[in-house]
Amino acid sequence: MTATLTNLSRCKPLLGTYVSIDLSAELDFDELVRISSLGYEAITKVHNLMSYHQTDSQLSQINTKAHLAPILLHPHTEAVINFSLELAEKTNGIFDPCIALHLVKQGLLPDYNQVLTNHSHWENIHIYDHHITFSKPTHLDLGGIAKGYAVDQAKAVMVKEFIRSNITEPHITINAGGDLTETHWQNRLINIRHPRTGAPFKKIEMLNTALATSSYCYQEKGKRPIINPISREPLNLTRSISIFSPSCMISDALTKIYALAPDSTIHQEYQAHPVII
Amino acid sequence: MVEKYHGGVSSSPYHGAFSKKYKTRQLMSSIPPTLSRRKLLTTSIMTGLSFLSISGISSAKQFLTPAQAKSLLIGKAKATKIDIKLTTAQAKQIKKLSKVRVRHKNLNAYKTAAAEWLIFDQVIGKHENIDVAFALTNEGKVKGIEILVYRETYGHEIRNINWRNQFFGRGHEKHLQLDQEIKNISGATLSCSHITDAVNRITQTWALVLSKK
Repeated sequence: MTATLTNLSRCKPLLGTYVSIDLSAELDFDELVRISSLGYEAITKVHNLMSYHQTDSQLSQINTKAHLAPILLHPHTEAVINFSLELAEKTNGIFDPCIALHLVKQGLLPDYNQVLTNHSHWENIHIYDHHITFSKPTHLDLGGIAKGYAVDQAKAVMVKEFIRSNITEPHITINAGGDLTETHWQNRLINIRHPRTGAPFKKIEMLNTALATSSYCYQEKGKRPIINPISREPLNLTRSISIFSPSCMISDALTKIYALAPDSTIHQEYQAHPVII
Repeated sequence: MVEKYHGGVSSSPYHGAFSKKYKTRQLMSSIPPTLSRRKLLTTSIMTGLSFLSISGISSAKQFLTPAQAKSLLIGKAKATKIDIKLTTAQAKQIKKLSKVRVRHKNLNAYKTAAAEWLIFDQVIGKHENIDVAFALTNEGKVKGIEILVYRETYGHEIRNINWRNQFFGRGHEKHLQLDQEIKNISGATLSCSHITDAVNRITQTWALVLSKK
């Protein structure tokens, strides 16, 4: 172990975006590289389990077979689906992870000639004894939540590894295309992008350890990835929705809820703070 | 890790080194004071353009150095620089197979004794200019990818390829510093599809050229 503070910054393409990991601790550089690699492995694991784009992911297996027979869930997949269902229930369906059909139609998700049904709905999903079944053919897309979960997992794995190396308060920052978490977030400023141009626009103080933002600043013209699950119409979002909370998964999911229902009070249940620009 | 911002062409210490606009402006400055009305109008337009350029924003974030990326991607293996310049025919064939245009015919490529390759490449997207290191196995499969420098550009300069190109190969230290204390940006998920395109281009380059070296 070194007595001085060592810094590491890495960035890799994962989860369909750029994922940067910044570490700072009194450890050798090579040790920081090793720990960051564990963080990236954790993200890759979630990516491989829950990618809609990969035909061999567990999510793709669920989408093609869960209406035929129960499928044993990986604990990560089960955690994310359970939280999705919790939010769907609490918001009366404003958060619905089963709107993939409408994203496929816009070209935002791949079309594998899958049978896409208008009956896809969160209430079709049943989890019992770690197995999932669909009461009707359903298309689950965890894109609105899994990225945040992946960031949380990477952080947890790296914190654990730092503790093994007798570092109890490591500085960790993970930024997965704007879904980010910082261990030392107090008194830190963050730049929020302009909802139309994407340029750094507004500086605000971090209000919790995790932050996610939704806006259409990078969307191709005419593409609207947030779907109103009630009307099944794409949302015309002109604002930027940022959510601070104790976890990236909560922040990631709540941005979609506040885009659709800005007056929601669900943030109170999750110690979250919405910032709408 | 350092993140820095600067306010556009006019404030860049490197503005002009590679830019046609700069050469034009240099030319204009050599015009004697007795200007014709047409020249005066042209000068006014150029001045207006230079003011517009101030509204542009660029930021850069540096991650691993090339040496650190090499160590991470191919370990302690000795890598030898191989001089490769793609022919026009090869570039066309790579574009046909990968559906990605070849912007640079000179490759910055290193080969190990085990026939693995390390390639330092540059990717240009909608807002971003990226320096990236790719490692390929001796079968041409991607072994690892590390982003080295990530730059973003906003304002009208994003349409000016010459302006954007001037930052390629340059480190974050060349950007003027405005907001060093703000290390992160949140906004919306930026697709990394340009990296996917680059992977297709590089694996086709391996099949067509590198595998025969």
